[in-house]
Amino acid sequence: MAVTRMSWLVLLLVVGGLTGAAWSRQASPRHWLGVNGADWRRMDPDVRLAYVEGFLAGAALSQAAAGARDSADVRQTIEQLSREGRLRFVYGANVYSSRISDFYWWKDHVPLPTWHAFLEVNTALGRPIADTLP
Amino acid sequence: MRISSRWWVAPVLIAVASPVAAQGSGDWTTYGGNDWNQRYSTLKRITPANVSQLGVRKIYQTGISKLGSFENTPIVQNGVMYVTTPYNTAMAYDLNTNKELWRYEHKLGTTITCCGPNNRGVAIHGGAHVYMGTLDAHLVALDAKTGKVVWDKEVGDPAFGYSITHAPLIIGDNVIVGVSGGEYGIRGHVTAYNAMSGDQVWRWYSIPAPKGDPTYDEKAPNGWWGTWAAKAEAHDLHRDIAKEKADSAKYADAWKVGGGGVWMTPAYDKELNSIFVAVGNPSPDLDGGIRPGDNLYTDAVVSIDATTGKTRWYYQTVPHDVWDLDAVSPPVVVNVGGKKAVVHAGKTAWVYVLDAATGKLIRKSDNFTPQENMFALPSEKGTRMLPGANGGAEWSPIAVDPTLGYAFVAGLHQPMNYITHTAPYEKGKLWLGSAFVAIPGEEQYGLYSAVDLKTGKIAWQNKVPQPMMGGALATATGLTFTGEGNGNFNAYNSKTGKLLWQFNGGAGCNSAPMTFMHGGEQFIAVACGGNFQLSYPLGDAVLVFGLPKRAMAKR
Repeated sequence: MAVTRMSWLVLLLVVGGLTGAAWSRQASPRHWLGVNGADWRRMDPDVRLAYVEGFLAGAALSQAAAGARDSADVRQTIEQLSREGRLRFVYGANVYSSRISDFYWWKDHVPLPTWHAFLEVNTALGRPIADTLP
Repeated sequence: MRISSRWWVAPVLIAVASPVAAQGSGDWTTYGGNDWNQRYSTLKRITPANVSQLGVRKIYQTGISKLGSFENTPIVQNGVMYVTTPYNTAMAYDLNTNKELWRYEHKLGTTITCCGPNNRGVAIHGGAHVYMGTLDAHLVALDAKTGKVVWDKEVGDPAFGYSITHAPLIIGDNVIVGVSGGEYGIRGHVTAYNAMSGDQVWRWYSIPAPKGDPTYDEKAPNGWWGTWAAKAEAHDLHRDIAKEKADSAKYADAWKVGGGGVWMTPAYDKELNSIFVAVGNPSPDLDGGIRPGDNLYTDAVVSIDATTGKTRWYYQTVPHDVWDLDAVSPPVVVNVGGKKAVVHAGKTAWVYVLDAATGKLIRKSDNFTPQENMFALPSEKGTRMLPGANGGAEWSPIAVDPTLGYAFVAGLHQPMNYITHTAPYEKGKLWLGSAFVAIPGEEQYGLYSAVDLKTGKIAWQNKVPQPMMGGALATATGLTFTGEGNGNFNAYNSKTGKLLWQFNGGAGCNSAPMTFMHGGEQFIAVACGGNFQLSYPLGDAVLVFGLPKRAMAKR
């Protein structure tokens, strides 16, 4: 019957659409740049600390790698920057973890990505954004 | 004639009950004036009758290149004045020649400070060594004669949030120092070092560990979770204790980064052999959700055994603080109504009088600055709450007149909204600090109060134009001195509160004053160099006031 066939067609289209949307979500995981305060607030304390430590290591690498010839160069530069207190993100993970938790206490900060939180916290700690540290 | 065999008892009792008299020689050899932190001088040359004649007799212009909150109280011993400045320069001045004897500029490494690059002073041991705590959490011992470094110890790693801003305390042959950094996820502590060698003698943690940890504290059998106090005395803290308990396993290690800095110099009582410390806020400051429990010993006055570094008792003024109303102003020991008590002026705007032997609350004063909606929770639109995040009483030390039984408190009135939304949002200017936001158009001011410790009543109050940060001095002649952010330095009648003398020092006089004898004269000294937190005008001078020479000659 025409009505039954039409109903099946509509049902197939709906199911197909839903499946496609789900597949689309699986194929495009959220970018790590999009991790924000909501994600931070869901993290267990150990996860937060590990997340911060990972960020700090990445920031140190990025700072040291600029202009480096090879990995030995990077390593030497990181160690020197650390010794001289010239890493851009110079404080311990406990400091950033504590301050970012307070940062995201503000409800309107929650949608902001964590990289932004790191930047704001670091600036509030008196560390300039630019590379020209004393 | 029978002579009582007990005639010697009274003087002995008085000697035992009194603190070490730093003023016997006319020197001022500890931050708090004596071991009890009373900031009370027995010198009697400057009186209510002649205080109006006070004038500037010396100005020590420290000449530092980088200004900041100048919160120093000078130390004077044997004709030498020792001063410290923001960013940790220490200097010594010869009071006879007014010349600088030496200067030590500490080379700061990584530093982290919430509230300005301040330093409140040195401690001096045996006239031989002078000790300064630094912003990068070092304790430095200097030769008192030359300023050369004798030893330098790292007390905490500044990269992990540790710093030192208070004047150390000398007890016997130990130098005692605490750490700041409660905003930055530290685990606070107070440490005793051997004054000669710098070797650590003991360390007391301001955050007690749970059972099983080597630093477990028997006085906190439930660790920093405490007793899950729903109230601070009669005041509801609006805690969701059930949720906190449910979350406690998830945040089992929060105590390791629990905060609890010690901002100010402790008091010491020789008879009890106890150190009394005021412990600062828990960490994180605002987000109490990830630190369930009472968060002991934050916001508490704690008694520590001076020999072993073990906790004797604690009194927590605000369990599970989410308002930054921490215990900052240094504790003071005083006899109140025949009982030895520890007194603390809180950011809460109450003066707490505690039994020095047990920590039990004897009484809480009437509020010395306005209170509204105490311990209200924040809201999106803002909840008006007083005091605001600065108090009450901030770090400003009180002075006590033991003869009157009064405590003199420099207080702040800053109406603020407690708000969970930063408003308005400005790119790059997100507010990370306190959740308290000043209410535009509402008057802010200071209140200098005399609190009767025997009754808890306010004996008198003087309103000044700006919130006060600095501290007090009291003298045996019935005078009390304090400074203001606008540069005014004031002398009041201790009993009545009448303003008897005022001088404007230019920059904010935001430090605790002191007094000393030199060359047969009495002087009053105060650092007038402003305050970073309250944006009071900065400067670099220590002003020394005395009576005119002709007034001295007439006597």
